[in-house]
Amino acid sequence: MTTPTDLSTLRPRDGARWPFAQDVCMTCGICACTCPVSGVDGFDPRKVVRLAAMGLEQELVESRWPWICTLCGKCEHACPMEVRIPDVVRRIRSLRERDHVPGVLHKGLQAALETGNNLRLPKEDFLFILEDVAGEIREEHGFEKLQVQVDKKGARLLTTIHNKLVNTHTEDLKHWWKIFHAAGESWTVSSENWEGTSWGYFTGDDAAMKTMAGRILNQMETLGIDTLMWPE
Amino acid sequence: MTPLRICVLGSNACAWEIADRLDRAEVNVLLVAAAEADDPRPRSRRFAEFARVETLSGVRLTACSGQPGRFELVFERPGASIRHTVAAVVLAESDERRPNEALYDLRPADGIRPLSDLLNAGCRPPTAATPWKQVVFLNGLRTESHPAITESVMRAALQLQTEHGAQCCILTRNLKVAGDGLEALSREARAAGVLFFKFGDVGPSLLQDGDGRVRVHLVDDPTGKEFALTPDLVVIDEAVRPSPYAVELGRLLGLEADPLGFVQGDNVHRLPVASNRRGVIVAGPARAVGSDPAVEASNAALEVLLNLGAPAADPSTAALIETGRCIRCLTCLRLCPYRAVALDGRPQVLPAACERCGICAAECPREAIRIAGLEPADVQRLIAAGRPADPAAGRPSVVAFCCRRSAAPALRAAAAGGSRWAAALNLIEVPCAGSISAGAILSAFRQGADGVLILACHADNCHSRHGNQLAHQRADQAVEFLKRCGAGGDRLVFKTLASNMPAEAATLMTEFSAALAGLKPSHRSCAAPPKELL
Repeated sequence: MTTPTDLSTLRPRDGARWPFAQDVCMTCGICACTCPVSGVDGFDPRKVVRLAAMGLEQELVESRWPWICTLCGKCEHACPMEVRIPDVVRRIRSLRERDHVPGVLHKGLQAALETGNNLRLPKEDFLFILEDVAGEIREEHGFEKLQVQVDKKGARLLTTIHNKLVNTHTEDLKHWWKIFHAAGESWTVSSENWEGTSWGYFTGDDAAMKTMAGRILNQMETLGIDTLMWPE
Repeated sequence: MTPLRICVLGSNACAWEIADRLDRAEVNVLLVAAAEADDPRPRSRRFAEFARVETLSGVRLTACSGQPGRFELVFERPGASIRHTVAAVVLAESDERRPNEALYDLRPADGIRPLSDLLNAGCRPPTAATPWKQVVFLNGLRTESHPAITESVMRAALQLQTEHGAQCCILTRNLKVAGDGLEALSREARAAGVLFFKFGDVGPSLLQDGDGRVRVHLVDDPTGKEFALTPDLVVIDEAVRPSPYAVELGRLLGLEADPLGFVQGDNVHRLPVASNRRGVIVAGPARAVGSDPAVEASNAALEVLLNLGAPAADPSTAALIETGRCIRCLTCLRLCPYRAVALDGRPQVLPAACERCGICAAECPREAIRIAGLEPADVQRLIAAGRPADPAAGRPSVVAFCCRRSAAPALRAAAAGGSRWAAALNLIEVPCAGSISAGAILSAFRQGADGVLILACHADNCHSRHGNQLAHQRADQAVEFLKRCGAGGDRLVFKTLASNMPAEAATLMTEFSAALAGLKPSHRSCAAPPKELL
């Protein structure tokens, strides 16, 4: 039998300094009903909100539950009290020691911050892959003149690249590029900091997200581009 | 002639609101407080600004006679009896709160308090040197709570939490926030750090140790986490009940009561502020828990003004007891739902109070009560007038006695909506199913009906309180008669309907038609009814 928690140790007001309204949860359970991963390892969103509202922050930080959530947001959409549940989850994730963030999330983020992409893919390899994919497209009828212009100043549209598209899913690059070509779009890709995914979203690292978003903005300003296509 | 006053019983916010509204409408008011200690003062205006309100305090109503428009009231205080004549009575006495201590099996102890004690003490620890660090509120864990109590619990918890540094926990079943501002209050309390634990069937365990301290052990339902606490203070919730005086007034005035004793029956026809008695209006805490005083006052004042403006009832339409036939059995006095029969040597109908439901006339064993339009000869004429032109055409004929509030509109709507049935229907509308006498039922059969329907309002929905039950009893008795005389009990059916049930009314007619088609025509099967039925 577990030892009951001493109720007098709870600090429910700790939750009040959070920028989210988890303190108004009425424990109705609608979030738990809508959550696609309710029941996985005992997780459901109501438990997370409830523990946060009771001020049991550390217990949540150490728990696996916040990392089971996919941040899909169905719970928030369904919540009658408008509790911003994914924000609560992200906040809790943010409180975990970075070395203890599960899986490759934090490692990938570190790589992106240091090298501009989650894979630590060198610039010359990146450029080679782009040109290689472009060459494959040019072999198709009607796309003989397709060009990938990197760092093109004054292009109308800048697009970011998800790291898997220059790794295992290069086929998925082709659809976009073919559409751009057929539409006569003036588009470009940046040779630096081209990473479109921002794993700070999943690890609750707002500062990293800001850094990465700032880099993209910076590219747009440098290249004089006013439209961004950010497929993530 | 000086216009009569309206008597308002009560000295709470609601009673004063009513007085205020009537005063502004230039109606004279007699506001009566039962306790001398009550220093009733209006909230809206200074008392001096009330032009038409007279107050009387420290007296209790001991008798009420007369009828709507002119009630004679007797108030008493030790050594004095005071009489007043008023046009109407508004009952707005306060309710009271009773601690649920006994329900929680807790012995009295320093650290246990009823909610009202805490509120009366200003919601603060006795001394600053002995703060309450942990406070547990028990709310509706043993009986249904009420939003009014939940509101007090949340306010007290919020105050202790924000002003006195306590950590408050509210242990509750359903948190009932169905009242003005209650959800906002619950949010405020949560934001301030008050913890809410909601329970289903398994509540917290409360164990009291030798020195009276309560050890709370609970499992948080959403997370399954166990918690333990020995709070400095346990606050016990309360039940809201009418005051004994309000109950006594209800009895004195002959008012219906709800199961908790509030002076308004659980009957939709009484809402919002009517009682079963004309000229007696019930409002605020006297009739319901947690009502809004302003809304209640507005409704009560409106009801008074409508009554004052209504034309006087025509005495010739009221029931009349024939003195030559009455044997003073007092059946009428006992059964009148509207308290329209008074005993003054012999029972007499008070015309202004009579609602012409016909229950007294139908139940009078001497047939001594007459109501214009509802006398046996009138009913016979109605039955005759609606007889099918050709009784031999093969369609069974049905006489349906229908309450005008429910079954009559339902059946008419069924017919208007295109429903058809095999039987020829003779719909006879009556003011209440309780007015259908055994004589009327048998008269229908004597005039050749193959079947008779008694159609009343649903249980607890009869405007005349028990008219539907009385109709049911009489129908059962008549079924027995029919069986004995060989006519068959299946020919008489009692059913309840609501006015918005035309589909059910049509189904009933279709099924009853089919059942009658299987029987022999009644005028042949009942050739020689027993003498006692004639």
